[in-house]
Amino acid sequence: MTTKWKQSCKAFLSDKMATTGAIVILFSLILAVFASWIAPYNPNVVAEGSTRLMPPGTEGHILGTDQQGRDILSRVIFGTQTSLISAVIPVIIAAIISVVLGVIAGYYQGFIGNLIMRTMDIFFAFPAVLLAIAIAAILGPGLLNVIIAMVIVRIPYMTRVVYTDTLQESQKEYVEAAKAFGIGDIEIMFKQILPNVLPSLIVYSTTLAGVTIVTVAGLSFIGLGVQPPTADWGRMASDGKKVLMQGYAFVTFIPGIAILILSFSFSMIGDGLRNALDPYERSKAKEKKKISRKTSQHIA
Amino acid sequence: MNVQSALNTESLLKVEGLSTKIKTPEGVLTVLEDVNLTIEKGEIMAIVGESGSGKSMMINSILQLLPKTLLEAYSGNIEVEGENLFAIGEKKMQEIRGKKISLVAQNAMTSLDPSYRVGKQIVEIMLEKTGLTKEQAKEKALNLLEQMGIDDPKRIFQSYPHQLSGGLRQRVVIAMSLACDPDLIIADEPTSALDPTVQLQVLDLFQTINQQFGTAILMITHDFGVVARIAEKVAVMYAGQIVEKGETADVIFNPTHPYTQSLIKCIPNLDWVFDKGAGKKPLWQIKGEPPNLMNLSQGCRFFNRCHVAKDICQSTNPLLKTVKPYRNEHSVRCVLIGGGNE
Amino acid sequence: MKEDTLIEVQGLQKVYSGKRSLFTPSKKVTAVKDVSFSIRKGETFGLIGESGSGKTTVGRMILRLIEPTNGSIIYNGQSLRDLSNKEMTSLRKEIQIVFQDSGSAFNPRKTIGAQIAHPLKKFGENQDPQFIHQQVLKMLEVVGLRADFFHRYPHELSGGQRQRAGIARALILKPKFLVLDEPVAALDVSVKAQIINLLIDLQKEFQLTYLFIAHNLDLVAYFCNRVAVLSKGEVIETSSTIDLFNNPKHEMTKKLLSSILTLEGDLGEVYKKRSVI
Repeated sequence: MTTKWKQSCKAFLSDKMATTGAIVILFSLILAVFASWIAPYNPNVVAEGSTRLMPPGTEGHILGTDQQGRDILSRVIFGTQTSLISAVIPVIIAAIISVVLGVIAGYYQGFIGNLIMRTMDIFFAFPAVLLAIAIAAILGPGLLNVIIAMVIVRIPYMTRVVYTDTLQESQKEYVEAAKAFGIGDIEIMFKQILPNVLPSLIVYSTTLAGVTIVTVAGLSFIGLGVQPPTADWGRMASDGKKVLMQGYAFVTFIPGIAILILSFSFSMIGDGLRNALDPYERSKAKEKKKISRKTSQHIA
Repeated sequence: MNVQSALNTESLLKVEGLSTKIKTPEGVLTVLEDVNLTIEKGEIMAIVGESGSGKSMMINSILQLLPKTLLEAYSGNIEVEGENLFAIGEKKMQEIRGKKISLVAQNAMTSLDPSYRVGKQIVEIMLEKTGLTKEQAKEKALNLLEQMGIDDPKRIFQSYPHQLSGGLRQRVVIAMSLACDPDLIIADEPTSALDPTVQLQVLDLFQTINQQFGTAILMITHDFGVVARIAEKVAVMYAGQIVEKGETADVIFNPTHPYTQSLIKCIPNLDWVFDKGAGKKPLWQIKGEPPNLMNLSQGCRFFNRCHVAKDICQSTNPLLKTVKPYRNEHSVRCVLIGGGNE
Repeated sequence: MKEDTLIEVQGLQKVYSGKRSLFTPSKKVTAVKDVSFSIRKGETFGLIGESGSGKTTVGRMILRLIEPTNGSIIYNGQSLRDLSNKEMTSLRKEIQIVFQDSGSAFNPRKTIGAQIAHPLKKFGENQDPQFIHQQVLKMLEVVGLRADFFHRYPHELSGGQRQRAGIARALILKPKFLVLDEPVAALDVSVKAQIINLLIDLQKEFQLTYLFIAHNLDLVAYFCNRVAVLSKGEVIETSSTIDLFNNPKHEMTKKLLSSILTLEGDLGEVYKKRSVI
């Protein structure tokens, strides 16, 4: 396993975009953990001697202050906490639940499989953002409820990914070989099939984390997410919209750019992981397929 | 056919000293080395080889289909009717693919788009590559399908690929490859995925095409039975090199390279079943596995698996030597044949 | 049931219920209609048929990887279909399968050694890790693989090597009966011969009985003592290999026989000539 792992690491690190993404996430993780030490001001209190809406570049307030006079840099730094939590935690929880549901549905198919997948289909009927808004509205605002809403919204997508992969894997002969020895279903599902399903789920989860940041910010923006005065990027952008047209666009733009960078970084990592986790064999097969497809396009 | 080739001094396809190098994560790999072969108009030639022998790389080189990300370099020459393929541009090359040379892949589904009716797919190619009108193309497509031995061409024309059996699908692909009246069809193991009875029908179909349209065929296969059935000439490939080539009868009944000899002996002899006195002979096998092209040592590439290898084989790189000079000369790449290496 | 019969299949049938929708009644698909044969101890029994004839399904049903709709499978006097899951599990040591190698017969994320050792770890009597390791190494040697293959991953092996490893895995619990599901169909000619020769040697060494499933006849003729020809889910002919080749009764069998490609080229002609004599 070690050589394989090394190979994957090497492949990942040779991908510049992915490495940049990883560095950004690492950096924001440090910011989130050590926010109280790093941030120059208390994010929720108006610092002494500062006025409202100081433009970026002002001495003592590099990114300026918001309409209440709070330091934007400090708020952005503290905002990484909620952003990372609301991006990563729901995706991890949803992934765990989806693995169980998807593997069981894909392996057994039949009645159980149908029951699980048709239930998922019901959720697919609603656009994800709309569903998130509906759930958050029912549960009420707050970080915990946002996380719950995002878990529910992500499960159908992730279950579908696990299900399709499991379906494919279950038909492979190594699964039949295990059955021929009388090895139990649980062991086949979670020890044989799962390791082969996991890589694509990890890739998908990383990409989803990026999307989730945006969705959560969206929920905060419309007031369903994290409640004031907690520093949150979506909330900050939302607050800034009142002064947006009065020449104070930076109040909205700065948190907006932060959201963009973090979400983009997750997608980059996702792309890098996809290439890195693909064993050499599979990428070779893909190349072959590409050749044959190209052939048929030209000739056919 | 002979008259025609005598009038036309240029061979249909001429491959001279072709070497192909590709990039892999482990480094540059020479997948083809010093390949020489010619196909005249209207000829059926077979290339025999195991997996990794370079036969699919041969197709990709001839049709220039190796993606740039994979290709390191070509050397040597590939000429189609006197035109050097390495000198012409991609645009001209696209014209040659399909119009002059077409391909029948092993798996019909790689050439067919599952979401369109097969008739539409054939017509589409004709519209793109020839000057036919839609009606003409449709008529020609139906005609072709009929000539492929399909009883109900109208129904097949309207079918989706998944509605057809493997044999029918392969026939459709063959019809497709004939859409622009090519001079050469390259068939990449077109029957190895088919049932034996269907395989026979498809092979016969290739023969009929050859006779009716005068289309030359380059048949890639691993089965000497297929070669014996349809090919006039055969080249045996091993680890990226041609090790023996000549007329089919010469190669099959007088195999000279130890590898060819072994391959032929690997085919189970059925005499004992028919003649109770004959007795069951043990099945001949070649020991070991084909070499890894990544770390080839000096000398003959078949050395490790050869049943007649001598010390000289390990030290000398064998060259292709003629053992029987004729129009279709019989030549062999083995140091032990014909005395020494010139 | 005769003394020397190891396995007897009677009236085996498999019907799939097929897709059902709101407006059309469910279409039943009969994969295997009616299959009966018996295999004697120590012989190699061939099961041939074209794709869709149901031969693979029959092999899977004997192993109870697919539950038959009807019919009986008697192994060594025991009816497999009447066994409880627990009883079946202990019997699985005796009945094993070698797959057509498509690269998927092994889990891509586990080493060859670990996968051959797995059944021993689950069901072996001696659980000493050292002993299990030794057993696997011994089995690798038996099938002609070097010891260093233990730590390799499936994709690092060639098709022939993977097939050898597949045979090693099937033999690790010392079975008596092997279902060989087109074990050489995906292999190169020279490797094909190696594997067939290996299977013949192993049969002698371990007193194995084989069910050899194949779609073409040349290897069957060489390898099998008796053959059943399957067509559209039914056995249309069963006889000794020599009889089948010299005296085919059914049209389908004749068609299959005349489709063997030989070096003499026009094989059909050759066959016709022979059968006339």
